[in-house]
Amino acid sequence: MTSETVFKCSNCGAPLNYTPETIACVCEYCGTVNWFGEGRFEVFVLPTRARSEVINAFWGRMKSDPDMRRVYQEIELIEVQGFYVPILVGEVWVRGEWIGYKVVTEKKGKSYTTRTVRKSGSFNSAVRLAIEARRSAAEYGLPELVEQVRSVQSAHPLSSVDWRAVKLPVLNTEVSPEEAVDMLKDAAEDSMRQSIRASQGLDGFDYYRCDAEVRKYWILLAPLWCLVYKYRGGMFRASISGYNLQTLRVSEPVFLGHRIVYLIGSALASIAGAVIPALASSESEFPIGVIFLAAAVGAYLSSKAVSDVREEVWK
Amino acid sequence: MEVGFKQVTCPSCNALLKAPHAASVIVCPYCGYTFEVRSGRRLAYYMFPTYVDSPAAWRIVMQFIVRRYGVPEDFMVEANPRFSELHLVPYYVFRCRASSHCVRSGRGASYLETADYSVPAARTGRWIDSHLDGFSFSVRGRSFFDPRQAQRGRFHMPTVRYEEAHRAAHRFIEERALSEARESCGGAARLGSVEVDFVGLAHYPFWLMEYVYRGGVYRALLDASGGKVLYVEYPLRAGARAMMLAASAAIIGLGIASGLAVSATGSPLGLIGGVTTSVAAALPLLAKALASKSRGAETISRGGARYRWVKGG
Repeated sequence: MTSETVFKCSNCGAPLNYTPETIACVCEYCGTVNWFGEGRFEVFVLPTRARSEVINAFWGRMKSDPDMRRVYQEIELIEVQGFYVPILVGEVWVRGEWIGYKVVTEKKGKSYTTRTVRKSGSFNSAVRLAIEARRSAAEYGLPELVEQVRSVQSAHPLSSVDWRAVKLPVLNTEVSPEEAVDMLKDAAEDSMRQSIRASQGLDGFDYYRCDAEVRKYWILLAPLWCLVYKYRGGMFRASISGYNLQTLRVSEPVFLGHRIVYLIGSALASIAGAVIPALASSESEFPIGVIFLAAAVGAYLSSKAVSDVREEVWK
Repeated sequence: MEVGFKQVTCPSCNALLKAPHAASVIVCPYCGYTFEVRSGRRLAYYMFPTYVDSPAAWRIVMQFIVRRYGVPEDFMVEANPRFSELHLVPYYVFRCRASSHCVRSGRGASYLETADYSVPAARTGRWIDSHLDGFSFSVRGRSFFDPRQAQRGRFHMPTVRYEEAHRAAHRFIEERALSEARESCGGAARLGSVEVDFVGLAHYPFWLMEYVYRGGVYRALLDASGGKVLYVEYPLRAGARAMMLAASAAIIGLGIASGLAVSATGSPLGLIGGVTTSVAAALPLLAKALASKSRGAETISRGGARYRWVKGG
């Protein structure tokens, strides 16, 4: 099959942007979902704001940023591209139990001892998950968009969008419903384990069981806008969520002031590495950990001092 | 016929093709028909179009380098393109699914692991090969075979056998599933069902580039579909090197001085801590200052599952 093969929309007959691996292809002219393969999803959309509003949001972000507003006149916006990304969203009921352990260090007299503490628990609840429905895909700001989308309650039916006015490419869904169920189950198992481990402060599990039942799932088309800007000849990126105009991720230059602060931080870590272990050494050998921590902080800060960008991320 | 190549007839359009002797799968550069040499079996195929042409590739690489720390001020004037070559590299793409089980103290549990696995199906024989493993595709731009795209650059035929790639995908998902079981359960872990489905063979375009700056040759690699900078080498100005060496010396000096001051109070840990921490803190600066060429890459992270509590029970 070559690019000469043309697929047409089942509703309006317009040429479809059909690509290999496509399961669902939304017509960019009338918004009809054209299916390739068995099984169906419900498909919703988060309508995008206009390109001019996205550009205004970018400048608004730059003017309000404490660092970038000083150099705002020297910024040149050179590329603005938007497209709808299919994101698989699902509600999964999870039931299970776990027994975990934590290694605790305790001070007894002048020495420290370690012992293993065990905790156990069970869960029976629902989680909502979001995963991009494209294969092996990476894009600047995409993880942040997926993160935003999972908590969105106000998705719209495809018919609510004036597709002829929007004119934004819609990336095709590449995940089949059968695969979607497996992906959601896998993600639910992993998410629960990670969540329990973090909330209970565990070092590991003796036993963890999670029975995941996918109750509901759908595809949400979310608008991602990728921007490239220039500052003093250098190229930087920004990503903006098209439905609420929030900046998802932006790379900014590192200014001299930042570099000096990072270097001072690194130097202070070196001093702390000498002073803190000595102050605590009369009590135990425990401060060895402090030396490693100070070394890691010092190395991190000095590498930041000679880095080229600072990344600011939506949280 | 060139040494190391053989002539093959495309089963679909009957075109005479020149393919390396080592080719395991052939993609007809005229019609896109993709088939295994040994069995003649047809394979699914797609490609990523080259959206970034050669001038745009140079512009992106130069603009990326200029933002790096310590680049000479005359870089844009003195750096001159020397060579650029578009490589279309084939990848085998698999969809994998595996389950694993574990029993601990009479209690059992099962785990499911799903993942995509893509592996280069050929080696270009150039320095870029080490950068092509574990590469994540651009979220945009899948297309069917397009002869105009295929003829834009060096179109590499797969030389890695399909079975070999399939086995690698098996090993990959098996290891992931077992690792999940080991992470979840202290009991004996065993593998359950394993499914590896072939999604297709995909060609992905990369720009291999070299430029000259004041007699030195530097290399760059660019994702020609997504426009991401995957690897660059660039020069450092003498002033930046001196600054980093001075900052390293200052950090190490401060660490030693603090250590000596503390050790004077009777604690040897002060000197050990000061020296260890300050050397570690200065290491990134020293490594960059002493390297003959600086290196960099753009970091674009992949997505992944995100979750949120809906309601608890």
